[in-house]
Amino acid sequence: MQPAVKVINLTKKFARQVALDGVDLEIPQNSLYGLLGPNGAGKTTLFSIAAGFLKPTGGSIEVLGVDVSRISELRGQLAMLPQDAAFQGSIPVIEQLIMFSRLNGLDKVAARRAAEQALEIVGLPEVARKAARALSHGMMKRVALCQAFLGDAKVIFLDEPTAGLDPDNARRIRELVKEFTRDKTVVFSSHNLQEVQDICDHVCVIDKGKVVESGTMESLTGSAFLVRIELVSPLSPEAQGALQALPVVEGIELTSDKEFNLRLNVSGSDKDEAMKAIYGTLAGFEIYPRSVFEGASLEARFLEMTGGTFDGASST
Amino acid sequence: MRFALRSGGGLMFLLIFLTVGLSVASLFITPLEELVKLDGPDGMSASEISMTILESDMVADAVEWITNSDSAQSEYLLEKNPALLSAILLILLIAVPFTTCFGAFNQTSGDIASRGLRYLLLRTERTNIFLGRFVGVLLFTIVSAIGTMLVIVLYVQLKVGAYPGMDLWLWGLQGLAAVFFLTLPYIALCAWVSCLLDTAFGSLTICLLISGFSLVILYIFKLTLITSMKVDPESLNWLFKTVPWGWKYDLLHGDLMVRMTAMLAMLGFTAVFLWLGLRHFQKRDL
Repeated sequence: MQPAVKVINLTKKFARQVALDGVDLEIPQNSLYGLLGPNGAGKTTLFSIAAGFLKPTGGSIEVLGVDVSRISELRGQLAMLPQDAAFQGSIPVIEQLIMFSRLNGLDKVAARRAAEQALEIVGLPEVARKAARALSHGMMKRVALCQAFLGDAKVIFLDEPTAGLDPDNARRIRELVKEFTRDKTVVFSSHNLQEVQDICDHVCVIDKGKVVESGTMESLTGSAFLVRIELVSPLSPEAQGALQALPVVEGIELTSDKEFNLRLNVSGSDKDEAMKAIYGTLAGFEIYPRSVFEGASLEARFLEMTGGTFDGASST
Repeated sequence: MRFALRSGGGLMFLLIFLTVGLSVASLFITPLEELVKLDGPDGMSASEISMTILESDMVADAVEWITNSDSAQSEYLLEKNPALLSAILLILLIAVPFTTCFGAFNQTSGDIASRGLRYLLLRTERTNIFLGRFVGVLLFTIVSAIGTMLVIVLYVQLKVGAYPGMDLWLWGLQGLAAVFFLTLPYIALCAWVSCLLDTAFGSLTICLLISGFSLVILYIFKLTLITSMKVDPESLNWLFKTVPWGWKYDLLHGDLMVRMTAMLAMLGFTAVFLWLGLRHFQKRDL
């Protein structure tokens, strides 16, 4: 099947700085594709070229088989949530959404209906008549997401949709993305690796303008899983030895006498079995966990690939 | 039009256009109003006094000097058409390029800086955005110019009452056409400058500088040629025809051919500036 997005030897230079350096990438149709990378890796540049905001220095991007230099041929099929684009501050939100819908090819009545529906979807029908400058950051982000959901785009780029949002707004947006993108290709960038792991089925790690690794989430995260366990009482050497002897445990690292990190050699549903074995072993020594933190293996893999270090796991 | 003139820019432009237009009108009408209050010499009415002043040789000479034309043209402006309105139009045409810059400077620059064009770029061609903004500003300029001319002509008609209504309105219409054609190249120039820069204030500054500074440079160049090379000043009149400014009074010329040539020149300048702007807008990062 033809890929939804095909990036061919893409290069972008800003003065002397190379933002993208010969990037090749294929994004399968109907996938939820996570694009990861540290700040300045080139993610937003890649998105911006895909949407026609920036002109590539070399190479090209095809969306649904159409070179994005002919972006008007993709009208209504390509949508994007840009990271830092502004709405017209003085014009009511609904009017701007109607204009976007009309540019997508809808007539006046259908455009108004589509705009109102999109605002309903993001839970902001009450802001329709408000000027964009009167909205809070979280509301603005949801309105921006709403414009990406206008019409029936086949490919949607979401550039850090949850950045700078409070946990509740971030959760709402994650739910929206999951709910409304079932039969679409979504390319999603985020610094929240847990979020990417939860939502996406494919992932690409990009660093210093180059693709470091890409593939399915399973292939990237299947090799390791990390947990941090905090205990009620100190971990005895015998208990440590017993844990080390478990076949699911790849490594153990003590961070204090009552806290340690475990690297597990499991994936998917095997994780639960592994945790049962660990709890059973600890209970055998009458040692009980106070708290358990699951560290996403994606985080570990990401840091491994980009040269960072794993300094703990995220709370679950 | 609403998206082309945003954030109060349109209102500011309308106010500037009206203020400039009415100030120019007031400049000529206020002295006449003062005359109305006085008893004219030899029983002349205020209208007769104003007609006598405006049709005097001194005013005709001044008009010939300002418009760089001959006595036939000054006669066309001062005797064949309502002289007071002609005087207002001559001054108004000096102000129009600069007032136009205030309405047209932010066609794209502010949105390039705020990345506000990005929502549009996904949905339409860059050409449509660039030309759409140009047309939006142009339409608003026409509305502003119509409003200003309407007020000026009504003001002259009601306050002075020295001219037949039809003559006044027809001459006002021709004046409006002159204002319209003069604004065209300046709006296009602003469209070009606006897409070159990422700041609206920078765009305004550069637009005003180009509009005014180009004239200073041409004057200096002309003076240099006259003083150092002893060139006949009359033979250098073409110099100012290299910019739209040099054609503005031809838009009020009595000879239809001269008027048509000036209109074509304005359209030519507009096309060149638009082409340069569009070329850059299509290639640049937004």
